[in-house]
Amino acid sequence: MADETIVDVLMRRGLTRRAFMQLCATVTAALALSPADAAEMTKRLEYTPRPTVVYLSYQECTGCLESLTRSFSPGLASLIFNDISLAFNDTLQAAAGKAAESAKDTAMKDAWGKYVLIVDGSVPLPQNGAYCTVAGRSAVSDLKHAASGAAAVVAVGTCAAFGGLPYASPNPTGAVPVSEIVRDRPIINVSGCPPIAEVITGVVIYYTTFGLPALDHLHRPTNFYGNSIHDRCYRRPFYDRGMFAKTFDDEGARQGWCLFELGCKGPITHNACPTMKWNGGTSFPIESGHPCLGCSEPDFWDKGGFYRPLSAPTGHWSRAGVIGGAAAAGAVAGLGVAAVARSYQNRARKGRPSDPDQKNPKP
Amino acid sequence: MNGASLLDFARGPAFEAAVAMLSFGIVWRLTGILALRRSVDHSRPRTGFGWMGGLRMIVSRSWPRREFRERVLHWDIISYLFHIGYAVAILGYVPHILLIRNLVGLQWPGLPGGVIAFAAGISAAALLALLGHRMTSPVLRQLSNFDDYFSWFVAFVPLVTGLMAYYNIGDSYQLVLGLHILSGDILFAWLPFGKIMHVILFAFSRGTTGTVYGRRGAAT
Amino acid sequence: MGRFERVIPIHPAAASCGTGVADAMVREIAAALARYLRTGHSHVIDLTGMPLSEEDRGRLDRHLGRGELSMDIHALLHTHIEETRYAGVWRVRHYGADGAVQGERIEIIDVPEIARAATTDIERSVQRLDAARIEEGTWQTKP
Repeated sequence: MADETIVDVLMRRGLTRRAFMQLCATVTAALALSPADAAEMTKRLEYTPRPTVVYLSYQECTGCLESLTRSFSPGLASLIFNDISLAFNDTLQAAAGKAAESAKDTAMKDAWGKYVLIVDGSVPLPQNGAYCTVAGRSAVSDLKHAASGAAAVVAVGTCAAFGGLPYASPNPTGAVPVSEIVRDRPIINVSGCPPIAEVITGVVIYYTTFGLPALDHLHRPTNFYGNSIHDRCYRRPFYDRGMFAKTFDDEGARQGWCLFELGCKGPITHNACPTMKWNGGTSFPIESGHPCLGCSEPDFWDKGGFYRPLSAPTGHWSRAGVIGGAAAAGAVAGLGVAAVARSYQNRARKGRPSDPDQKNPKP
Repeated sequence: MNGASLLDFARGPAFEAAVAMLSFGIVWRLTGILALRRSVDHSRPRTGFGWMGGLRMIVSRSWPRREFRERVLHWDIISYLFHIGYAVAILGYVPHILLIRNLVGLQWPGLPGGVIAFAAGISAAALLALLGHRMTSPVLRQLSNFDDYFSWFVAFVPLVTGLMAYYNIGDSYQLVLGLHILSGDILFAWLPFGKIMHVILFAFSRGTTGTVYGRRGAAT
Repeated sequence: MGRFERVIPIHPAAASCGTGVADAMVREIAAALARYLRTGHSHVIDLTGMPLSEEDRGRLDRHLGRGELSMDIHALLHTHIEETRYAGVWRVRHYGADGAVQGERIEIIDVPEIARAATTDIERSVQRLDAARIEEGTWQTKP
């Protein structure tokens, strides 16, 4: 079965080539491929053996998997991940315990060196990785083993890509992103908390047909993470016109004005939300009236507060304390300097023939 | 250091340090100057209201006297373009107002981004022209030292980086925004220690001179 | 008015004005159709990722109209194919199980590729028909 193609799987399910064309049409549409690339992908998908995908979860909340399984068209998601390619996922599969572990080992052994490894969640390093263990094995050694047999690693979610919530200050478990552990395999970061489902599936399919996509400096595919939210935001004209919602229930909020003042991180966040949207294209956070949290960027938990405007200073220092304290110190320094200066002035004057300090004689 | 960590640094510890230096420096220099011993004027006061001359001069020195107008008025106008543009950009842009609100709790309505960009553009052009003038005029060149050029630079960089951020010029918006905020931090921190301190001292120096002149019955 | 009865109406500013995309698209269709007649090269315009406003969509719909033929495919997804008022210009929409549009394209070709029965599928049908006749001697096919 190792060389079975996607077309074969569809045929086995009693479907015709039309189903394959439907699949290609929707996938290429989701990937926003050019017509030429779409035709090329269709051609390649027809002959490419189905990919084996191993999905491992560590320090994570399962939100990424929720995103993947709930918001895509069920037909397509189940097709891509259940029927075609997903060899192991401990959350989705029915098997548990020893059976599950041996299923994983078999899947990996069968496709050693060829499978796509999806990692969801960050990995803690201290105490030999004791803060996260699966089946008596630490996440860090499990990941190292699994990655050594992978063709490529897809870090799904901000935890796997950049550390995410476990990595947030003070990072009690010493969590690190996948890229800190896996150094000798290509890594594709599909960040987001969670990532858009279509982006996860799109990246896997793109990798199987075309190989590594173009990546940005954070190893994210540029066709999904190439633009900032701000640049593609339909509320951008309000930003340019200086029309901002000040609270969540004022006139500006009702009229759909820009959410910059309410802490929107759209200008520094790269993701496909404004164009691909969520829940089958229903909307995206800003469209629903909430500022972008910047969830696809590193350290988004530690950017000084979700509702603090991007231009406002971060940190929890007392504004009055720092300004007042510095002013008090300045006053002390100023008086000190003045005292020294006055003593110089006095000395200089003493040397003069007439004492200028003496008051004018009254007329 | 990448764009994200630069931005975090600029908005966080660098900004806090800059505000502390701004506050410290202004108070230090003001107390230092005001607590100096003033020389006593032995002449008889021509009027009992010399301080009124001081107040008048704070305003009157804002425009060149008739005798000098022909020679310097155009440079004064360019200087005004720079100053007004700068003030509009700093005080009218909503992200800046949000910063001030966060710092001291004051706020006021902002202006559209296009107006700000226009004001900042005018301001930057004027600043470039003034630098050219400073470097070509033999008198000004003699009068200028490192402080003048450094203060010019510190004032100019936030304008350029701000405009770059607004028009999304440069590879990484985060990096440009980080540089913009950092350059603002440097402006804050440098303000009290160089010639940019004139934003506060101009009133004191004019007031002092005006009071002395007023007491002597000279024109203010 | 009670705290929970208060409704906050949100009117997101929809991009309601035309962006000129529709007109450009009609020009592209015209050129592609002429080329198809000349050279036989088919053409596809994928509308899924295009920033079409409601106004653009309306213009396109009004311009292309409806032709004589429409087809529905019920396979992995539901696909609705519709000829426009211009012969050789087709609109193909793929719907997910929830009825949401998963993909939308305009195809310039005599018959959209997806509507044709593929050779492999025909081969399998021949086999199935033969098998059914041999085993049961009837015309009924196995489910």
